[in-house]
Amino acid sequence: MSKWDLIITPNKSWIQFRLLEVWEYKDLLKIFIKRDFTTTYKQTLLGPLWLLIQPVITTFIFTIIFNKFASIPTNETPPVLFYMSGIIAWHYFANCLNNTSDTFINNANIFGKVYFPRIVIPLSIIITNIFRFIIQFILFLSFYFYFLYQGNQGIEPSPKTIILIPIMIIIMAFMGMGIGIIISSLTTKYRDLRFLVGFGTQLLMYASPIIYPLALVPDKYRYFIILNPMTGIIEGFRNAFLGGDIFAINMLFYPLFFSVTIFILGLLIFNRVEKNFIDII
Amino acid sequence: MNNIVIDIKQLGKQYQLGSISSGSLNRDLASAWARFKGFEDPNSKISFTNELSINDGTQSIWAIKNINLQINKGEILGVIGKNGAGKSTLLKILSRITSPTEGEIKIKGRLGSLLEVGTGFHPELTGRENIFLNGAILGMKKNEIKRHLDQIIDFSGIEKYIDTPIKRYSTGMKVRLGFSVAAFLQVDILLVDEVLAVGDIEFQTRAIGKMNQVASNEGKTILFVSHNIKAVKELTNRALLLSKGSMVQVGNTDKVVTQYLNSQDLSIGKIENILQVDECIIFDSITLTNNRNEKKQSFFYDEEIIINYKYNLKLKLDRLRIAFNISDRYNNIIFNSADFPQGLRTQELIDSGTYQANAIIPANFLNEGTFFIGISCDIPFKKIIINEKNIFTFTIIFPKNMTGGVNEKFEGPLFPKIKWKTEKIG
Repeated sequence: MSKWDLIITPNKSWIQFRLLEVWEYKDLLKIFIKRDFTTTYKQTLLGPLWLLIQPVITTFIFTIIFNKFASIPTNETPPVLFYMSGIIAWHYFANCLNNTSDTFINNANIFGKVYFPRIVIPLSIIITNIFRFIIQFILFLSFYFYFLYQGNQGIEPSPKTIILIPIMIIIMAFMGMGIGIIISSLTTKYRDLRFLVGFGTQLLMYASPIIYPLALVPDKYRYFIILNPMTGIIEGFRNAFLGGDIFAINMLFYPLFFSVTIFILGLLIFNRVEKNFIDII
Repeated sequence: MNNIVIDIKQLGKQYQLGSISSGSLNRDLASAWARFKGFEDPNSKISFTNELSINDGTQSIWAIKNINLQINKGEILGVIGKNGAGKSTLLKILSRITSPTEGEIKIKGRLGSLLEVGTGFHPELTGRENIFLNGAILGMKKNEIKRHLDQIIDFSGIEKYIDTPIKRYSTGMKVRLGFSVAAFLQVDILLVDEVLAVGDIEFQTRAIGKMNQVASNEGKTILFVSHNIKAVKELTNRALLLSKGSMVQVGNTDKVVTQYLNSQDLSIGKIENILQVDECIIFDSITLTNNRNEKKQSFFYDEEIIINYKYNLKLKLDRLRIAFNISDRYNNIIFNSADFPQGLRTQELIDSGTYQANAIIPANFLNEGTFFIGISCDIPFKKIIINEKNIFTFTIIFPKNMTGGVNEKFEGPLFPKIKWKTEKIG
């Protein structure tokens, strides 16, 4: 009659996903998302307005420096829309990556005291960021329709690509979380990697077509820029609303492949580390 | 009948020492380079001494090993042992915070662990919000928390401040809130670690009462790890004694606790220093026993405590005084006592030879708690031979029949039996 609900063994295998277990903890996932939202803006003057201020100011500065001073062309599209589309997409990816990369270090205290599937934490982070992204996306849309209403030339939305937007968001989430949890797993051993993350994402931003259109990159360097899996996403996102440039749907294949690979790799490493990291940290 | 809810087989946990990692990639690379070139590792630990580190030269220790244990449904099992005995490791493996190196644990039913009160509390959130957060972290479903919300708030006794951010709470209030959430945890098996050590006495009493009630009424199985021997005795019928990672005994709590208290080292380290200190006197032994001549470290309130000295005088001395003092756990001396009363001078010479002296501390005199004994020996106004504080430590506990199960504490180091006479005079 013995039916055991749980068997704890040394667990030497690499592959052991307990997705059903994550579902059991969906209430915890929700409450973490709620906590992140309510606590981030407590005791701040402007509260969630910061979500809008950041992309607006960044866009403004980019427009002045890169477009006006450095005269980097933005195809035919209005520079404001050009930069803002890149910035909000990039921010989503970078936030997913940066926030998940601290999973173990920031939660060492809780992880040392109670069990729950550790993956709940990075999952809650990417979902929280999706909500932030949606708010910024609405901001972008309001600018977008304003420019459209003004009868601006050079805005050629491409409906075929717009349909793909949700897929692009998922690709970014998987990619950010995949890289993030790999780094968080490694930072349990090597704290130095934390410094690399902030710095690295910043550098990577310049290797993505955010302040310049991909078409402008000379042929001999373009290969390197395309090697960056975020390139296809940024180009696709921009192409969906603004058109132009040299986007083709097959440019999303590589990011898709990359994100799935890095996500699975991340899960494997994360699974491996979560069991015993508390002995190391 | 099969009522076993936890079945532990051959459980062991090994920790790697030193070679895990230095924590920085740079230094790890330096170590790897040194190994490669055959140098000494620049980051190796120079010395590492700890009770646990006795090993055969390998860089690892077994925090626990060969644990075999079966726990029945509805049972409250106490786990005792010294620091480093592996109590926490066992609990951490059971609660899946870390995984074992070998062996297997089978568990029936939902398991919750309470290794800390108020895990995950966020200072910016209100008491009410933190109930949901903490409850969810402990594995409760949202509707379970909702269903018990009023009871939780009521039990915590802080309903007035429940919508205040908990950063404004005192430590005691946070503990109350945390414990209240835990008390309503809907699990079949509960692992509890030392959490009762925090909080005020009144709340501790309620918490222990609540745990007792939970186990008996709801048929929950509880694993209770604690240094607090008193709480273990009050709460549990069965106990496990761990020492250096191994099981020493498991069985009736009273028996296990007695063995634990008796197995402890009587001295706290300095007795070797005083046994042979002087050319004129050698102490063979100084022991602490009760009146049945049992060596002990823990005495009941109604037991005599006997300090027994055996010493050897090598020379004829004109005077010798042997004394002791007792201090409380704050290191304040409560009283002194000597075999040679102050002011009295003998003219007799004391012959050389072997002597035995007993000092009997009366029963029904010291209050519950921990005490320290200091030993001194001198030739009055001439020479101090020994004067050492804190040679022994011992504890006084009230026997169960005396407290009647009521957990009442009295202040002060002494609790002498005083004759009272009350009569009606009008």
